[in-house]
Amino acid sequence: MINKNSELALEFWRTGILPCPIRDFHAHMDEHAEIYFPFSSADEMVKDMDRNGVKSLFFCGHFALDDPLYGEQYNVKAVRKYPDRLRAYHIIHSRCLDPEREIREVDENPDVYVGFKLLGDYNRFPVDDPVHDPYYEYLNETKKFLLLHTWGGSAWDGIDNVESIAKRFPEIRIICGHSFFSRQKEGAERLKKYPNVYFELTAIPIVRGYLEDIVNAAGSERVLFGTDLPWFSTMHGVGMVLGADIGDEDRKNIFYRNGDRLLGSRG
Amino acid sequence: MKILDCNLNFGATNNGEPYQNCDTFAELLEELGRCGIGGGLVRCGYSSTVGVNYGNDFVARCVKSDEAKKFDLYGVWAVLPPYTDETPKPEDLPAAMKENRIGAVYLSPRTHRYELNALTMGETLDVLQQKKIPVLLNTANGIWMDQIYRVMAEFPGLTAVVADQDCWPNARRLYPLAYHYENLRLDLSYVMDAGGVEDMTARFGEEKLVFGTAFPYRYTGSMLAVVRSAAISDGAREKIFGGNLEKMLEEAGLK
Repeated sequence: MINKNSELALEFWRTGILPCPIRDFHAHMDEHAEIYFPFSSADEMVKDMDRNGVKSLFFCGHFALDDPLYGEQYNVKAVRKYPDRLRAYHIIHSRCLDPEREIREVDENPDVYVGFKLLGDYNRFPVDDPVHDPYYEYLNETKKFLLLHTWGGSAWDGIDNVESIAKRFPEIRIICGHSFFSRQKEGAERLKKYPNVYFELTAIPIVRGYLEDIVNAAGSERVLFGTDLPWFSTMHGVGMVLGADIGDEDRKNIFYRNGDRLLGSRG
Repeated sequence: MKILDCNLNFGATNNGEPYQNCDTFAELLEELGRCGIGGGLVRCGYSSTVGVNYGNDFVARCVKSDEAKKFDLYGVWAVLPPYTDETPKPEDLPAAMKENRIGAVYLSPRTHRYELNALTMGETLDVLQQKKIPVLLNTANGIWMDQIYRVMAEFPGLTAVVADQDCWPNARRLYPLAYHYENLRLDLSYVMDAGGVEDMTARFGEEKLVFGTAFPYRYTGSMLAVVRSAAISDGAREKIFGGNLEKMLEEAGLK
């Protein structure tokens, strides 16, 4: 039953389906050199979303993440095929920047892109470096999303780096992917004062106790659900949220209410 | 549906962290009751952190206690090479396990500082193989994956339950073992891959898969939800959730 104290968990256990929608703010797509995925195409991912009650999914495909020349087209293709379900983050390669073109691509394709994604650790480049300012100025002006890979103790995308962006660009919807894993409590405590900073749950399920830290420090209103699909099962994250020591109202905030509010506020 | 978990753990860790802890057996039982797990295999971490016999004796006392009786719980023992006479002699091991309600052993050559090969552990592994006693080979508990490959090559009939703790999916490391060794099962504790349970069921059959949560290190809810909602038959789900482990214990004469 997962959690005898949760009506949501009991209903899930009875039917095998979560009795509320899910908005997934952190996903990928297509194959990856280091990993075997049982499925990874847009078609398969949407089928998986249907089965698990995932209403919308924001992603940045692996081809875009790792190929600065040709990868982005696959994001566009997938969103155009499933316009009611998918939206993409345009990747920023910190060592291979072309802000004029990339901002134009996002701006001219609002049906495809919700913002940008940046992986400081993978680029080994600080996310708050001023080279990114043109992107951040655009996001600040348009109130779009910035999904950051964030990790505890990182010199590239740690708490200090993200705080620096949040201070200078208060209108950007900053999603802290992985919630500063291993420093999640400190990250949530320090950054909750910035109302547009959100904490996302990918990787958090692998350490029992981390989710409670984030919810207790920042409040469930600041937590967004994410899976890294096709890396991790949607239900692996769902099970963590259902079983964690938080309330059903918190769970609903995380699964969909915060996402609905954020998307509604963007129009 | 009966749910048995092949990867339960308890014992104070002394790590000063507020995470992943289950200091006492009572806390473990409380968690099982809260999330609806009916029993399974439980390891006392003291057998790795304090002393092998300290932990082995501790878990035996716990699973035989009155408070454990409403659960279907079996202990897990660490075993050592027989040359230092610290754990039961190989020929005495099955009877000692049965007497103490122990359902499996685990091998931890890194933590317990021995070489895992036929010279050091051959007599023990022969007995375990012959008696079909479940042997937990979990990279979280002091054994490398290459050691698992080597011990399986030397003792291919072992009733092994393999787990590979990682934050990434590891099909490329696990699938060759599952394909190759008939009696080997996969512990699902760390199989968080999207579509992983479905893929493994289709490839190897559900008989190869054993439910596990890695409590208290990971959230029990995660793997419960994955298996509960997996796109597999209800019959397969029942076997994964408990039937396969129950059958293993029966075949080993430990149930």
